[in-house]
Amino acid sequence: MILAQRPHPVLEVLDLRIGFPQGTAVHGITFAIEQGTTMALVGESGCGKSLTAFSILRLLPPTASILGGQVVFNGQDLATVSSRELRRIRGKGISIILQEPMTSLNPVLTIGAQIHEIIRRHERLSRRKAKSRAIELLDLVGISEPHRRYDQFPHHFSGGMRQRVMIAIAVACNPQLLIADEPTTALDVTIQAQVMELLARLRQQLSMAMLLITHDLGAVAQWADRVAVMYAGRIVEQASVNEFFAGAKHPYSQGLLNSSVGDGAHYTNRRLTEIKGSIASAAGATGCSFAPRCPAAVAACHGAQPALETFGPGTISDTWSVACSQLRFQKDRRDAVAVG
Amino acid sequence: MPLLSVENLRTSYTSRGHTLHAVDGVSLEIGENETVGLVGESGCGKSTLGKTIVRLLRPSEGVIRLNDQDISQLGERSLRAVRRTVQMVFQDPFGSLNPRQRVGTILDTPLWVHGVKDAKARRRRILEIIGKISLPEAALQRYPHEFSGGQRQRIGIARALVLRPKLVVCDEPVSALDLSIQAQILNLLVDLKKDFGLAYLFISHDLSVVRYFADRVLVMYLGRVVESADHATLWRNPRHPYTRALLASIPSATLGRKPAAVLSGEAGQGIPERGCRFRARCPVAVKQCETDDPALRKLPDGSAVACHLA
Repeated sequence: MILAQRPHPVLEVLDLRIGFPQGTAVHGITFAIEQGTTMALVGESGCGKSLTAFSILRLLPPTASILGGQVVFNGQDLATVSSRELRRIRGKGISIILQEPMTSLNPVLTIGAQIHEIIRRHERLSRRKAKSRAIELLDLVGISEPHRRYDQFPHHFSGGMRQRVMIAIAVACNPQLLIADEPTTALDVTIQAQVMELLARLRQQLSMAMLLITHDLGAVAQWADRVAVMYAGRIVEQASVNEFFAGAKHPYSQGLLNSSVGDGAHYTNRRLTEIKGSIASAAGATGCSFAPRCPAAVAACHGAQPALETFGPGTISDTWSVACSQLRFQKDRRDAVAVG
Repeated sequence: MPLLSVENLRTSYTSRGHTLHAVDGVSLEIGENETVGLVGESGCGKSTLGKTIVRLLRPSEGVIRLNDQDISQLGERSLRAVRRTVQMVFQDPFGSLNPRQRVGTILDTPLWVHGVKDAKARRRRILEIIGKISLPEAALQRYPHEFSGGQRQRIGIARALVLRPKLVVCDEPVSALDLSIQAQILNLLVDLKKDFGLAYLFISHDLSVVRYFADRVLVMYLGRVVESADHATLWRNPRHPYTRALLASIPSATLGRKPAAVLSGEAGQGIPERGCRFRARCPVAVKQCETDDPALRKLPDGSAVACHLA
């Protein structure tokens, strides 16, 4: 009965593994995104979050490949679907916005032509109708004078405006899922807020689900419903945003939260919490990949890689889950202290 | 007497007969042991200002007084003495270290150039600084590519500090780094300030970092300083509409406090000939803003603001 009540996930990623000839980069990750919700994938550079996002649409760099697992979208496994079928899904079922608005538009085509292309590819619309749809889209993403802007080239647009054009292209065919890979990292702060607000508004208007790839915990707190923290190619914690910010459980998540310069902190009154070492120290280790940097690590942590365990009813992708072998132990100790 | 005082500084770039004043009449002071934060969006002139102060660029107008000596128009030879007092840490830890030099050479060169000819004395200074940045002595034999981004930024900081300067200009020193590494570098800069009695000009586009790190903050917009205040005042009582907008757009890692996109438009649309430079994006602009360019006014509490309405 529970199955009937629960909205069906738009996308399910099951035990996805991605590798390069030099080694494995993503070691079996599992998550799901439900209709109309935003899932944030956070982590530092090199943790595999962008690879994961690209692999959903099979946009991996040529040397990388999917080693195993499934990416289920509308009952189809995108990891094995034919290229022809995949082309039908890209831009129509699932769209992607990239980090670099400066390089992701074609500089020799007008803005209009680039929006027009995707509409004509997926919808049966005449040229004239496609053009008026494109102009509507420019207006929807907040570009003034869309009729005039339609015939201009990307270099006429500022960074924030180009990102708006990218968004217009991405939402042109009402996708069910929008993947946004660091959509505001290259933009100024005041523009970041504008773009995130636009994305949130469109997500509601078009009832899309969104996978937000980011390293910015502030953006996660403000714009996401669920969050998965990645470290060295694995999800180490997955929770609803409320649970996560109320009390992240994994030592790495806690480290990330404590090392950010929070409200009201000043160097004269609070020293930042450091996470010792760097992500490179995870390479080649046998046990938990965070153990070399973990303040709570014990000998056992260097032995085996902990699996993601749920803390509550449900599955990994809809409840709070953490991959830390010390957690049970810490929890018991806290309870003991509370009783004592 | 402040360590550094800058008056009416103007730095211009000319290309194809067109002149852009990237820094357009900026005055500021930095006292000994003080951290001044400089924030603004890309293209506002904050990096140009930093480079002009260390005299990597020559200003077209204005005075830069360091320990009461005007260095604004000094030639390369006389600047050498100045560089012992003022050093710079750059944003990109990958591009700012020579990939063909060992770390030992990178740290040795400034000492040699600045006249420490005794090899033992140089060695002593290098070992001291490498200890401060928590790298082992063996690091001196290695090349920059053997280090991570955070470690490379430490080496860049060590290179700036090996001459024991009084003022260090840090141009976005943590923006290329991951969050967990940012905290390491910020803590290191705080420790070094205490140990060496440093003053910093800390340039960043990231308000939350500046909020943490600066004693006093300058906000720049299109080549001008629009607000200057001590850190507590700036966050509690921001006076310029641009500062207020910047503060409102920081996404806070506290739930339920959505950042507000108060500003429309972008800064890149050119500098208007008359009136306030911010008025096209300003939510509270009035008639007067179109005609009168507001000057930076001193306020009773020591802050300063360039706005007719503040």
